Formats: sequence, C-alpha cells, structure tokens
Amino acid sequence: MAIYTYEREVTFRSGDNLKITVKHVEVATASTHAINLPDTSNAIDFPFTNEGSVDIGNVNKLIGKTIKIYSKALNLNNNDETVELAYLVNDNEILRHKNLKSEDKSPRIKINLSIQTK
Amino acid sequence: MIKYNLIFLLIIVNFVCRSQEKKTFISELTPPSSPAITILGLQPNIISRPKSWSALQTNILNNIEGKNNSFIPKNIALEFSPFFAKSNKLISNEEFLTPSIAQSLIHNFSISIGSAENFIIPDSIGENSAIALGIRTMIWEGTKSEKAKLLKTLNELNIISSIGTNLFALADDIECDPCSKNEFIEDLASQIKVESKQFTKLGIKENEVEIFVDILSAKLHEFLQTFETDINPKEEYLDILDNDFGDTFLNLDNLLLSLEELQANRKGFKLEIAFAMAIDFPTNNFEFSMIPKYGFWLTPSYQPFDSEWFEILGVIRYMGHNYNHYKQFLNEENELFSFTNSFDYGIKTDFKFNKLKASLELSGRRLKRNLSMTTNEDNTTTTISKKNNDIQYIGTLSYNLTNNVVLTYNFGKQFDTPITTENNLVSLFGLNIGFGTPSQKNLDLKK
Repeated sequence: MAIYTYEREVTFRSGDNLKITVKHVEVATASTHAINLPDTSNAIDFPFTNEGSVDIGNVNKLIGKTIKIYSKALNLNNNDETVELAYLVNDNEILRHKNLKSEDKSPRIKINLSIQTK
Repeated sequence: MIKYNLIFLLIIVNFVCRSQEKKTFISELTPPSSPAITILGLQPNIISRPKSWSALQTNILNNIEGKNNSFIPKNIALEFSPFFAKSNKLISNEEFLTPSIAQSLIHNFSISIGSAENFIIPDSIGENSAIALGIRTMIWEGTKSEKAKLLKTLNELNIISSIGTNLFALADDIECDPCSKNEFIEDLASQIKVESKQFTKLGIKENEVEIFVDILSAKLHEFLQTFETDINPKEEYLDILDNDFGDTFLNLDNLLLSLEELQANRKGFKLEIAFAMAIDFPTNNFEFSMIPKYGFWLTPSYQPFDSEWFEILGVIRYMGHNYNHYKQFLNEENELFSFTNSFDYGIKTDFKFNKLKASLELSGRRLKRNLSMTTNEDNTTTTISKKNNDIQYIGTLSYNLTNNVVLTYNFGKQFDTPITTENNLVSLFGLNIGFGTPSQKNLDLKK
C-alpha cells in the first residue's frame, strides 16, 4: 500500500486565521487524522477522528513554513466502493483524495501544506 | 470405484426425480432483488444497477430505441437506489451501520424497472411488450445487541486507527534519514513519551504509556528483523509502520474485517417489503393503461445474534391478475385459466450442524381462479370463480460433501395441482455440483 503524498500551497493575508477541515465525501468511510505544526513543543497538535475542523488560529507564526497533515482512511463498505476525502482550508477545498477499495482499502494520506502570504 | 458408482447413481436418481418439479420452496416466495423484473416473468442474465444519477441516465439512454414513434426502453432490467446515488450525502457511520426504522426505509429503498418483449398482451410499444415498476426496501435490520457490537467495533477501529496515525506522524517527524534500526525505535519511543497526552486521550492510561512504549519497541524490533541491513532509509521504516505493523500489531485489518462481517451478515430480526406491477397499453393509447399483473411481498426473518446454527423465515406474498384485462384483450379462452390470483404464506426453519443442514418448511396457498366471465344483456358482468386452499410441507436435508458438492434430499407434500390429478408426494434426491469456483490458491486474500 502506497502512502499518497500531496504538496499544497495556500496564501493568506497577515493576521488571517487558519482552519483545516476534513470531510467524508463518500459514506461508510472512517478516518483518523493528525496535524504536525512546525516549531511547536508538541509534534502532534490536533489529532481528530472522522469529519471535523480544527482552528489553528493566527497564521502569522506559520508563514513560510509547512504544516503536515496525516490521515488514514478506512472503507467500511463490503462492496468495492470508493474512499473519498475532501480537505478544506478556510472553507476552500485544497485537495480531494479518492480511490477504489480494490486499489487500496485503507489509504494513508500525507499533505505538506505550505503557508505563504500575499 | 464404489464412490464414483454412488455419485453416478445419485445423478441418475436426481434426473428421475426431476419430473416432480411443481413445488414452490419458500425461498422462491421471498422478495426478489428486482421485483419489476420478476413480475414480468423475466430471468435476465444481467440486471443493471447504476450507482449514480448520471449512470442511470446513461443506462436509460443506451436502452432507448425509436420504433413507431415510441421511445420506451426495450428489454431493460434495471435496479436503482436513489439514496446512495446522491453525492455529498450527509450521513454518519453510525447511521450507515445501525440505521433507525425511518433511516433503514430510506437507505434500502430501491426502484426496479423492467420491460419485456414476450409479455401476454401486444401493444404498439413492441410486439407483446410491457413495462413494469417495482419498489423494495428493508424496514428493520438487526438487534440492539448486534447494533451495540457494531458500534463498539467501530469505536475500537477509530481508536486503533488513531493510534496508528499518531505513531506514523511521530515517526515521520524523526529527523534521521537514513536511520539505524535502534536509532529509529529509540527516537520513536522518546517521541511517544513526549506526546503521551495524545495517547492518553485515546484511552491508554497515563501509567500505561511506559508499558505501551515497551511493547511497541519490542514489536518494532521484531518487525525490523526482516531488514538485512542495520541502516535503512526512513521511508522503509514508515512503510513497515503503515502496513505490516498496523495490520498485525494494531490488529487494524482484523477489526475492519470483523466490522465488514458484522455488517454483511446482519443477525436478529429483519423485515423486508416489496411491491411490483406490470403496466400495459392495450389500445395503444397513452391515456388508457392497465395493470395486468401485480405482486406484494412481506418477509420477516429472525436469526439469533451469535448463532450460526438456527434461522427462521416467514413469507407473505400476493400475486394478482387483472382478469378483466385478459378477458378483454387476450381472446384465448383456455389461456385465461392460467391467470390465477394467489396468496402464499409460509414459515421455514433452518438448522445447521457443521456440514449438515436441515430445513422444515410449511406453506399455505389460497388461490382464486376465474373460470368464466360473461356480460349479460342488462350490461352486468357475471364472473364464476373457484377458490382453493392448499398446504405444502417439505423437509430438506442437505450435506456438503465438499465445498462444491452438496447432496440434498426433499421429502413431504407439495401443493396439489388444481386441474390435473397428479400426485403430491415429494421425494427428491439432488446433487449440486459447482464448477469453476476459484480455490484459495487462486485468490490473493490480502488484496
């Protein structure tokens, strides 16, 4: 099973807040997530399960750095259905990961999210 | 040699006894997967099951054929579930796995559409063609204890998967690359200790984090034995952590399989309903359609939770014919006898003991057969009909000789044939042989 790695860049204005959301596009998908923020005492800052959002707060301290988002998705359906996850930053979709169960029933996804300013 | 002679004899007995094929087993009375196709009397090789609205449109467009200015799909056998065809469904895993009555009705609701060219009454859509519509849904599925077990397994799966995701995130943050085996394990262990809060959130007690780290380190050592070299790229360690380690140490794969198993083989009480009707345009006028045939199925069944050896199934089925329709448009007196309204009901119990399965079924049938229909001078209609009540009871023993060979014996009384005076005794040996099934060697079960 491959680790699906994506690179994404998002641009903010100084002082903006950052919110990361994960959505299950397909039913019968279970997922778990961990987010590594750079230069913090804790490596894992926002673990959560299934769909949800995390508010990271003011983006200024993260400018020019990379946040790492890790997910493991599980297809709970018996049939050869799709696992489909949508990732949103401040309600704008930045990535949609989709694969059939026959391709990979429990994909691991890694997103390197680079933070930039205008 | 004796073994082959016995098999040959059983095949002969099977063919000899096949002449007694008038009985209807209860399993044949249960709701069909596509009621519309059944009501037309079709047995298509393939039933299309489009999974989205756009796939449904494509499927219908592919089947449309213009003939005599009509655009009715021809020879279509289609089943469609509107709920799961909708994209961006807002539904939780709890709702998906353990739906309430209302949710189950909506989730399992399916529409079937069929069209046939060999139906009884001809019209301009095509010679002897008719279309049929059917619906089917599950009202209730599963017991409370089963639903509780499903949710418990789902919760366990979420926790274990979350531990795996956190471990992976920590391992990815390890700075060395390439790393020696010991370096990787020690770095990961110290990271876990720093992040112990995250693991306590997932149910590992604070005083157990140390134990968790020790077990994890020992297991990782075991897994990394497969590496021939001591220093390896970090990516290879991550790969082990994601796959073999996650599947076996965290037991993620087995948990997922047991959840799928629970979901696929729902136990407890189930109640399924279905309805279907054929539609005909006998005068080729769109405003004048008739329903020549319709059917209704209600099927309750029960299998105790944690029990593989016992199952009970009940069936109620009504099949009705519009006699007026046939009388008006068929004009073949003898054939009218075959359009009989029937009300079937029955109960069946299955007992399984290893390779042996014993079934007992009792079913009743109430028939209403119209014998004639005449219109009097004063424009009133006189219909002469005959009602029959009949009972059938059949016991079945089946034994799995091998995975692909099943020996069966049926004994009992079948429904009487209303017109002829044929016997009603059932005594039937059968040998079912399966060919071409893949063996375990052919399957890569890990895929």
